[in-house]
Amino acid sequence: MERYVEKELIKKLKMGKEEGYQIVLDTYGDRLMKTCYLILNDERECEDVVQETFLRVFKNIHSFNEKSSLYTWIYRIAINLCKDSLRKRTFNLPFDDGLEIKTLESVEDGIFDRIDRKVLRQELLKLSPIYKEVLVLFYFEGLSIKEISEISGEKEGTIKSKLSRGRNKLKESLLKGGDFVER
Amino acid sequence: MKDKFDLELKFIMDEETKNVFMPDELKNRIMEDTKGKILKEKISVFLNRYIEIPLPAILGGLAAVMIINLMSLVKLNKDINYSDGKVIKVGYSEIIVRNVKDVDLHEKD
Repeated sequence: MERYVEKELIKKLKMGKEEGYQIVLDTYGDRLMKTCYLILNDERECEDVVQETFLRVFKNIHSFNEKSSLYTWIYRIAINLCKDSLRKRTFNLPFDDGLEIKTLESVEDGIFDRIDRKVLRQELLKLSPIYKEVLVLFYFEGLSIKEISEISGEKEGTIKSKLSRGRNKLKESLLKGGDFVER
Repeated sequence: MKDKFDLELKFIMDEETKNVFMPDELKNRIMEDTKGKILKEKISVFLNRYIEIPLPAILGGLAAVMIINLMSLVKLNKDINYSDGKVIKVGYSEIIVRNVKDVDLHEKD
């Protein structure tokens, strides 16, 4: 969305115009649903998170200082709600296992000829939300490291690290159980 | 630069969400909730709003109220028409002699 269009939209939202709410829902609704679905893997939970996100956006629009884009702000709220939702789940989330970092840079450079999509899909769904969140924002949403950093409130270095670890974890899993053909 | 692995990830994510959309029902629910909350908020803001009244205006108002109240305390008996008769001063007292005579109810007959 163009900057000036977004400014107009924010103005409408701050004035409480129904038209503004409708534009936000139409513009970001589907994208946000998809992103939350990828992180949560649960349609019902995803709907709850998206609903709460928009309600918070509309309610707190007066506190939005416009330092970041509206899109980034909406995503920040959504990602935080996704995290809350994941925390509420009965199973414990695996913590960031920073100590067992394995750099697979050597295997990164195209050692795979063929990737088993089915296995990769399974591994992606199983991946810890800590990494999945970053992978989804980077690959699916096409956001930059800087934007992801703004959304998650973490340093760019941390995001890069998470992205790299997430990819490596998937590759490791694929090597163990996937149908990979090494050159 | 994205490699084959990255492109595969993107493809899987797109595939996984190709049928995921925000239902209209959900949009309507959000709109209704928002409208209700905004109305409540507007009422709350109206009731909790700050108003500034200049001090001279407050003092003037208070003075006016005090004067009105004091006037009611020193209200004179309007039934007595002082111009009607003579005033005889006896010491510190005044006796008003009027030509008009009041007749008691039992004396009317």
